[in-house]
Amino acid sequence: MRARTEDLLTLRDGEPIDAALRERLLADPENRREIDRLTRVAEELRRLPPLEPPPDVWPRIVAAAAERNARPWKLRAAGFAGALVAVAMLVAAAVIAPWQRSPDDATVASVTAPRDVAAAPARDAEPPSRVTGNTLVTRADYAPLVAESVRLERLLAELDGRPRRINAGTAFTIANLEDHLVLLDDALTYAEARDLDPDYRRLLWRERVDVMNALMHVRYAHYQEVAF
Amino acid sequence: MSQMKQGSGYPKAEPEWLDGARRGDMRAHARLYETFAPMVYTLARRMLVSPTLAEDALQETFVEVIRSIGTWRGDGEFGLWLRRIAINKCLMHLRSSWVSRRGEYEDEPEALPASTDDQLLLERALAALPDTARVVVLLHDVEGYTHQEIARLMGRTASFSKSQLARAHDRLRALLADESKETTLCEPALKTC
Repeated sequence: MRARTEDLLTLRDGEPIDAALRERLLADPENRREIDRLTRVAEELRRLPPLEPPPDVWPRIVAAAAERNARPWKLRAAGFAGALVAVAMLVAAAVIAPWQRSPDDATVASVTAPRDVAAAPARDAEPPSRVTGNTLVTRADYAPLVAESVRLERLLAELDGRPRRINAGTAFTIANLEDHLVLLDDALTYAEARDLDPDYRRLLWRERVDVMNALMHVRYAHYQEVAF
Repeated sequence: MSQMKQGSGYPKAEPEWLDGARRGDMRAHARLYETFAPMVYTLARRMLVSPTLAEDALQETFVEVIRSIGTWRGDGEFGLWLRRIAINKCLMHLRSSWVSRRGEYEDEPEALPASTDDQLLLERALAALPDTARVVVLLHDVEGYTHQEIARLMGRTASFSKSQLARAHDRLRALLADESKETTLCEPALKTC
């Protein structure tokens, strides 16, 4: 009887199998030889010699662990700074807005959003998701940018930590771009929380995607140098 | 079969290294690395084949150890815990779409050291298996994982693991037969290759 490897492996590993099938399979000397061979292969796999890692990995581990420990602190610090900026902007908005607001201007967003952007008409053909004053807030307006930003985050996460030997110039460029991202994220958090003008938010998301793309190019180019 | 998983083949970690590592002493971490790096690298190299990816997995595994040794309860063998981290890192690499893209930029991995011709043939055949089949045969036949455990790790079913193991062995048999035929035919002394 021609046996399936899966059944012979089940027999080899002593796993439960139908008693009649077991008897039939073991009755054939060829199957018994094959089970012995499968056992030998497993033993040989376990006996393969250990391999020595490259010599210079430990210093990189120490550096990567230190960087990972430092990152949450950096982000917390940036978050704290962002919160201070947000509070300052809120106070400024509360103090200045009553003086600046004309009777026919109900848009709080224009206090912080660029003037030309705040004044731009809503162009989106889709129905608005909500209305703030006379500003149409359409998430659809910048949803593709948010999706693109998420996609780039994922790609960057895959590249994260791969290029290891890095020169000062590249490291400086990467650090600048990452700092730019932190500031943009703070501005976006504030803009979303305050429901600022969607065009202003779209500009922020556009800028975020551009910075992410730049970071991706730097990281990818550097990885290719290392790989080649 | 579950010899390795029970830890009998692992190097031993001295209790003072583990205590030191838990307190964040990097010298203790360095001792752990010196002792366990070959084990982790060997596992990663056999699972991932690529030396670059194996090096990445080695690095990520020990960064994870530094970061989370405080959460290790210490009620089992350190080697077992470490091996589980390494296996997860390797599986993450294999799941990453980046791995398939970056393969285009890598040279052929250099031949693995082997003490006998048979081992060399087996290393080559193992490296030639599809990723999933190779990982399953290593986890099951070498690491001693059950099909249920492999299924959990890979997010598949136990029967998927069983069929992959059978597929791996069928493929290994064919590859080893081909390799030994080539070796027999190719005899430099007789100038047949």
